[in-house]
Amino acid sequence: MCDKELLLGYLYDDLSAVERKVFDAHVATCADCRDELAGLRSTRSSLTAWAPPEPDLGFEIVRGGAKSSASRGAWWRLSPAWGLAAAALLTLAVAAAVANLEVRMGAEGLVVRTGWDRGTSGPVDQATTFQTVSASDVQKLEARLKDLEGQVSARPAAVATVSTLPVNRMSDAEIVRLVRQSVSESEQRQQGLLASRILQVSRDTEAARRSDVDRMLTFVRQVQGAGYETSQRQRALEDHLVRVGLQR
Amino acid sequence: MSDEELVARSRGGDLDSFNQLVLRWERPIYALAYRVIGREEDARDVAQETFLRAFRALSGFKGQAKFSSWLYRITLNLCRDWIRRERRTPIAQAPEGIDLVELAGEAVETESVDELVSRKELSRAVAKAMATLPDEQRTAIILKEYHGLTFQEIADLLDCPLSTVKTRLYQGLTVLRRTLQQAESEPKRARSSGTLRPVINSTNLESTN
Repeated sequence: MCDKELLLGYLYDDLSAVERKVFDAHVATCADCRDELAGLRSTRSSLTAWAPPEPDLGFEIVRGGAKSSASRGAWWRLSPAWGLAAAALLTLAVAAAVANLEVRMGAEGLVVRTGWDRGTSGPVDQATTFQTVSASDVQKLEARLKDLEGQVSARPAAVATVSTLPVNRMSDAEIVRLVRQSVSESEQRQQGLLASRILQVSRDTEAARRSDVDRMLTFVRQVQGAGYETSQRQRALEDHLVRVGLQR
Repeated sequence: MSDEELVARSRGGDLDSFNQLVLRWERPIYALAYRVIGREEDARDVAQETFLRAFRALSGFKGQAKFSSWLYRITLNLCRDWIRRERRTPIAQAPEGIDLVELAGEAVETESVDELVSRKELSRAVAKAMATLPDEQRTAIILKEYHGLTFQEIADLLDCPLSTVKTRLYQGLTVLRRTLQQAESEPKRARSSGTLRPVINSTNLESTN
């Protein structure tokens, strides 16, 4: 019985000089060990073909935040809806800041105004209105104002809706009542519209049904007519055969 | 600079030295995790977690073993935890078929496409054959063949006698030899994809030091 542990050490070149010499002598006379050594060497050679994929690693420990990349990435995993909402809020905030937006409810109703023209339209706080500005600043402001006016005029329907609301010195309760009334009216309109659409669909369905029934009746009549004609021909043929038979 | 020197500097608070160790060992650690658990992304996570744990436990590493052996131990522990958590075998499949376009992109000047196809098929056959081995034999072969550990280092890492390591290696290699010979006799394109099974389920790898 050959020493397999020695054979393994020989295979991995992990023998002392004496052990190697002894095993060399053994292999020279043992065909089984020679075959086994050759087979295992071939197997070891085959094992080198199994290589792992080449990933993008680049790990690095960072002071003050030894988080995994997965946890770092998780913070940013917002749903698209949240992302859009956040973007919309950010845009609104930036736009309001740029336009110096003012929303006020006063004697003239609900007022939506960009702040660049406050100095000429209505009483405002003296401290925030009068400032020393240069001619270039004024030109910039005028250009900005034209730009903003252009933007506002691009939304006439929305502005009109807002500016015509009857909210002259209304209390909160009145506003709520008006809103409820508006919602109620809207619901009634929607219900009316829905009813009319249901009626229209019902009519269309009935018309289609009648048309289909008519076509089916016509087809049945045609089939019945064809059957009648066939039966008549058969009867005539039978009569003819009977007559011929009687004559014979 | 040696691992030991970098470890000493890291223990002194030098983060760059530790990151040099990371750079030096990230691929071998990833390769070990990949061959053990067989999933690319999970192997990457295991490798990453290995270095995080090593960094946190660096003060407890007294240099009684090689730094690499210490990393291997942490990795194998994490692989064992992963296998317990996942509770599934087989865990990975080698890809079906061979994409010649992809292979052509990988071809090097000294290797024809035919040779590359043969190497890919051999790689798949090896993965499949390794999957047939008992976990402890497979672990021993991975550590010996792909990481060049000595018999004694493997015995220390797996907390088993030297003779046991040699027995596992010999038995595993013998099975691989037979399996690969059978695979060679099959028609080349008829070979099915290999599957990898987790390697560790009985080895004692509790401590990280």
